[in-house]
Formats: sequence, structure tokens, C-alpha cells
Amino acid sequence: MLNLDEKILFALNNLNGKYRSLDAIIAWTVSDYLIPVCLCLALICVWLVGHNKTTRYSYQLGVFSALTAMAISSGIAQLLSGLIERPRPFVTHDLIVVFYKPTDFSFPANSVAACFAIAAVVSTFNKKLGLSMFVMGGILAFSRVYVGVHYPSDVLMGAIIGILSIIPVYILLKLTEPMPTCFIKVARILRLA
Amino acid sequence: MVFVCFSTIGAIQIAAHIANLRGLLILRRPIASLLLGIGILTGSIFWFFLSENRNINDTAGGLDANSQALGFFLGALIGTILTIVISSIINLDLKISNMGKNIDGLDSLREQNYYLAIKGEYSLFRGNWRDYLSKQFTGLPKSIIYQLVTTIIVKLR
Repeated sequence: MLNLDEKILFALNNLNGKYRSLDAIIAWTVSDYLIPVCLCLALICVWLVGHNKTTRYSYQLGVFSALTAMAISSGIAQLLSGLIERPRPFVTHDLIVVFYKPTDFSFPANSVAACFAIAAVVSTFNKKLGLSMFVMGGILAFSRVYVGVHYPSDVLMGAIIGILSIIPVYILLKLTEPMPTCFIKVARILRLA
Repeated sequence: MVFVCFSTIGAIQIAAHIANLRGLLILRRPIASLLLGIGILTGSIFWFFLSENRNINDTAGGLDANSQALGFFLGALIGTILTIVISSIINLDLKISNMGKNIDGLDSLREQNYYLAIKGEYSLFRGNWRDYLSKQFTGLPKSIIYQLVTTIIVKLR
């Protein structure tokens, strides 16, 4: 398994410098800001776009859940990272690193977990948007391996954590009612929902 | 934060156009607002990434995850407030064709600006706040924990 992990890492990392246009795209997509911020902006749009009260309520509850899922998946990823303490691939291997060298541990990929958590929740109420968010999360995961800051297994585990985080979110949502609905009601009074 | 603020303004314009929330548009013509929204959003992304190197480690002057989250929240908040203020000024004389109908929430922004909508809501609240609040917060879904806590509180009384 570890061998396959390293093989994929080396195969992707060796592409660095071979295709200039791909390098230029990856320099943007690997950023801590582009894809995570775009997903959060999409959530702002989702909050507003429901055409009637019922659809909007389910979308807004979805935004609420997506943010909670993001927080839960990040928490789990941080916890696992501290427990497993896997060094970054550029520490143990001779890789081409065209990104800054993070000083924290590698496993699992926190940003990928957060993006997949948002995508997983959104796909439960809007399949098309959810799918496009999964694609964006996949691009982020690919970029992280490409630049040599994560192993493929790191991003795979991040994606799994993100997707599975919808389970505690829905339990939490059921247990904390009427708080989320109250929040949306207050926002509706303020003409923001 | 500036990047998020401007991109939030752009995103709200796109969403307001899709949901037909005319009171939130910052240009009178909806299609012009949509194009402006797309322009602001893409423009802010390009400005952010082309102006300087943004891939900086948090140990070398970049932002850590918590600062990023805080920056996003503040940027989005400022972007939303700016949109509300600008759209309220631009749409000051937006006609109210559905006056008297029971329209609340974002739906009210289809026919009037934010300022007028919140002003109307406040006058309803001021009229009879007890009835207003009971009407707003009755029939909410209640979890087992909520029911348990309220039962304990009632029994303790």
C-alpha cells in the first residue's frame, strides 16, 4: 500500500516542470485560498437562491450543515494528524516542491477534508452543485500531491473524513433543534433568509 | 479580507439575479448586475493572485487556518453590509407592488430594497411584539434533548 502511495506521488510530482500551463494552473488551485474560498462563496449563493420558502429553508439548513461538517472534519483531521504524526513527503523523499513547505504533519489532508465535507453536504440537496464541488475538491487533492506536500493516501483519507462527517452533522442537527431553525427564523425576520 | 469582501459582493449579485431579488441588486438592470457580479468576482480573484505571491507558509507571514476563517467571516460580513447599503441607496424608489400581502424574509426583497423591508418588519414588531414573536416562533421542530430539558425545567418549577 505504501509502495503504491509512493509510486503515485512520484509519478505526479515528476510532472512538475514538464508542462508549463499545468504548472501555472496548479500554482493557483493548490493555494489555501482559491478552492476553499470559492466553495464558501458558493455557500453564500446557496443561502440566497431558493425560489420559494420551503426550498430556501432546506438550502439554508444545508449551508448550516455544510459549515458544521467543515468544522467537524477539520477537527477530526487535526486530531488524527497529531496522533499519527506522519512527516510530509518532501521531508522523507527527494521531491520537487513548488509550494511553500508546511511545517505541520501530512496525514490526513485537512483542506481536502474540509472541501469534501462541504461537497458531501451540498450533494444531499443539490446533486449538480455537489458534484461540481466534489470535482473542485478533487482538483485540490490532485494539486496537493502534484506539488509534493501530501501523499495520495493523505488526500484520500481527507476525502473520506470529509464525506463521513455528514453523519455526525445530521445527528447533531437533529439533536440541536430548534436552534438551527430558530437561527434561520431570526435571519428571516432580519430579511436575510 | 479585501478579496473576500469584493468576491462576496460579486457572489451576492449573481445569487440575487438568479433568485430575482431586485432589492439586492446594485445596478437597476438585472442583467447588468449579473455581469457586474461576475466581473467583480473574477476581477477580485485575478487581482488577489496576480498582485503578489499568496502561497506563503503561516510561519513566514502567511495566514494560519484560524486567521483564514476569521478573515473570511469578516470579509463576507463587510461585503454583505456594503451590498445592503449600496443596493438600498440605488433602489430607494423601487415600487412596492405587493403591499399588504404577507411576504417575509428574502421574498420581500423582490419588490423593495432592504431598508424599506426591515423598516416594515420593525413597524410590525413595534405594533404588538408579543403576538409578533409568538407567531414567528411557534411550530418549530423540537429535538429529544430540547423536550427533555424543557420537561425537567417545568418539573423543577
